[in-house]
Amino acid sequence: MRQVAAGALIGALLAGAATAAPAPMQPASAAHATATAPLVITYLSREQTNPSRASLLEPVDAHYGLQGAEFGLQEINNSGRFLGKRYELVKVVVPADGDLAAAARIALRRHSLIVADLGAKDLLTLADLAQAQSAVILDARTSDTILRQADCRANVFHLLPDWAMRVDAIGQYLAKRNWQRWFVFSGATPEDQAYAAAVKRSAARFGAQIIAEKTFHPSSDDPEGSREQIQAQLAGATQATADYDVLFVADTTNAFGDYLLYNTAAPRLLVGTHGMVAEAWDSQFREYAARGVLYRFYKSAAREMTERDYGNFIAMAAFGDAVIRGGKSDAAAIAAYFRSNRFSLAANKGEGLSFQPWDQQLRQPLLLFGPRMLVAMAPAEGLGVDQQHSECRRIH
Amino acid sequence: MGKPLAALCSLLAVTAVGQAQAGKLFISDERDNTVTVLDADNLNTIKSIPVGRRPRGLVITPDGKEVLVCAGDDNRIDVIDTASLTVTRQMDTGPDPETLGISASGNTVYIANEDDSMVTLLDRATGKALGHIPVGIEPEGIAVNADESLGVVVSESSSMAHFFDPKSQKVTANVLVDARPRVVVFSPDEKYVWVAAEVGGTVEIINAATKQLEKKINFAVPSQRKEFLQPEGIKFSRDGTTAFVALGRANNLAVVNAKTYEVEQYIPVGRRVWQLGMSPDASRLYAVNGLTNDVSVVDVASKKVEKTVQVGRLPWGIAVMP
Repeated sequence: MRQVAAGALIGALLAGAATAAPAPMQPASAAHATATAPLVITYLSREQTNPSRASLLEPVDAHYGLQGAEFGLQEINNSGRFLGKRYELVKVVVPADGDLAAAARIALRRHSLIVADLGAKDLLTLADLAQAQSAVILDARTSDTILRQADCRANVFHLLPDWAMRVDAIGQYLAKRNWQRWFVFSGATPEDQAYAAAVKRSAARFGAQIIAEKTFHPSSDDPEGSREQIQAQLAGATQATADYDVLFVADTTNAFGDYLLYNTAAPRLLVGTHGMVAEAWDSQFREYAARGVLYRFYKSAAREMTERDYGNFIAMAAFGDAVIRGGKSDAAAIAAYFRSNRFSLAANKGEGLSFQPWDQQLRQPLLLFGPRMLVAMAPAEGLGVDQQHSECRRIH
Repeated sequence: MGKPLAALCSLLAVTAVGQAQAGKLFISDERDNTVTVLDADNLNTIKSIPVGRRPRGLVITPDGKEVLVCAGDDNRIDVIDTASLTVTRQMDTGPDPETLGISASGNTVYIANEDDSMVTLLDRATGKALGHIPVGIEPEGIAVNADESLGVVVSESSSMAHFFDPKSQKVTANVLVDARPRVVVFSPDEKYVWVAAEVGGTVEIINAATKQLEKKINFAVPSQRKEFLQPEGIKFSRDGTTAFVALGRANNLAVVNAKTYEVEQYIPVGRRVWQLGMSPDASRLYAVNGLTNDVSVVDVASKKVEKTVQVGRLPWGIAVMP
């Protein structure tokens, strides 16, 4: 079962029949310990309308994220079976206009380990439910800095890096290359503006100079059908009075960024949400056994693994680790384990990853990727908002 | 020393101790799809042998006649004749063989199929599969004791040591170890297995009889970041009292007292040091440096690097002619 309509699923939950994952592989030998009751993890998401994309290289897939979680389930079951551990995934996917809170309340009655493949607004709705206060919510998808800052929640752990971490990874690299004159070119959404704010923060940190700042309003909001219109606009919009080294693009919804290359006023590099990007994962990453992960994911999902899939995959891996290595099975103990210095997640980055205590965001090396190839890896330490500057006050 | 060590992934199988013939070293070059052959005396390159794609684990047969090389991307083993230095035959292995071991008798080849969570047993003479043992995700290092009563393979992604019975081809015990174990070897007396965990940054010692973890070795190379301490290859001195551990991106070897498990010193070598080999007389240790494309030759007595020898790109494993 790929995806479950919320109504049907809630019925199933109430009837006590959890939607089990595909059965784990049969034990290979008598040496496999007898399985105890499975640990149940709930995947929570919302159906999406087609995301905007410009290039057909960008796949549109309704199962983004979900297939990452399903893959994670396979992986932790394949390991767990040797130690008598078993996991199940309950999938709750509400319709695009569905009531997330209602579905989540019902799911939380039975199970409190959540993989949240949700946008920022839905994530906060979930985290603030009374029933969620003793839950462990692994945010597998968002990058919003505010969710790690003023809007942080004690019951939420973030698997993917926020804008501040990403922009710092790029800023650090630009500083190393001495490409210190930045033109900040952003879209008009609140997320784009938040990204642009992170760019300005990073410029101050790394001694870069913001020589121009512009908010771009595409003439069409249908990027799939408006190439000429958007491109015609861009040459003018990217003109600056002073010279710059890079155009720092803040287009978090992919409204125009794919059209920028070769259409800017000056022949300059692109970085940010387009051009050289900072990512937790890329389908072309192959180091630290990432190649093996991509291979196994492809066998399971018949497509490349996106960063969102990776977020969901490592969320499952974190729960798997809490059970196998931490020896935990209830939510409070798992949360304590995630906060402890015992937690060290192997996630194909060459080192164990842990949550920053001040915002519960996973500290990880970031991949700086060009369109086809890794440019550099940014070290995990020192990216994003540190403890001293954190505005998160709800985590102790 | 005790019984011959058999079947270590990409490590030398020592047989007739003290044999003095002019030897050869075989180094797999993962990125060049070659095996570089060095003269063990003068360390000159004798030949670069083209092999299948992505060669990593390699092992020399106990009789010294053949080197078996895992060509991961071609799903096969290339067999090099050590006299003619050519690939004389191939064996199908199943998906993505990364490393292999060979029994002390030289009859059975044990392969870790990284992408398939499987150990495959092959008959060396015919290349026929003798069986498959399902194990954890990304099996890598593999070792079998001399009388072939006990095997052990580590799964890199599941972070486990899986003990198996080579005869019944069944897993008999699973031991959770530190994150991303890549190498496993028997101690010379075969009472213990040593497991090197790349991300965990440790070497763990498991009692081969009880399957209990007995000891954990931590490392600390001055001025190296902790996450760069990535234990990989392990080799013992002839008397078994000293173990050498390659520390990956920490660019050092650790010299470990194999009785007390104390780290006695560190030896700086090349970048991302991976697998190790030992000369037949146990006087020279060879350390394969993945990112500097060379091999550091360490004098075991003085614990000093005598020489550094250029090989192919991204060198991975080493086999030493007995």
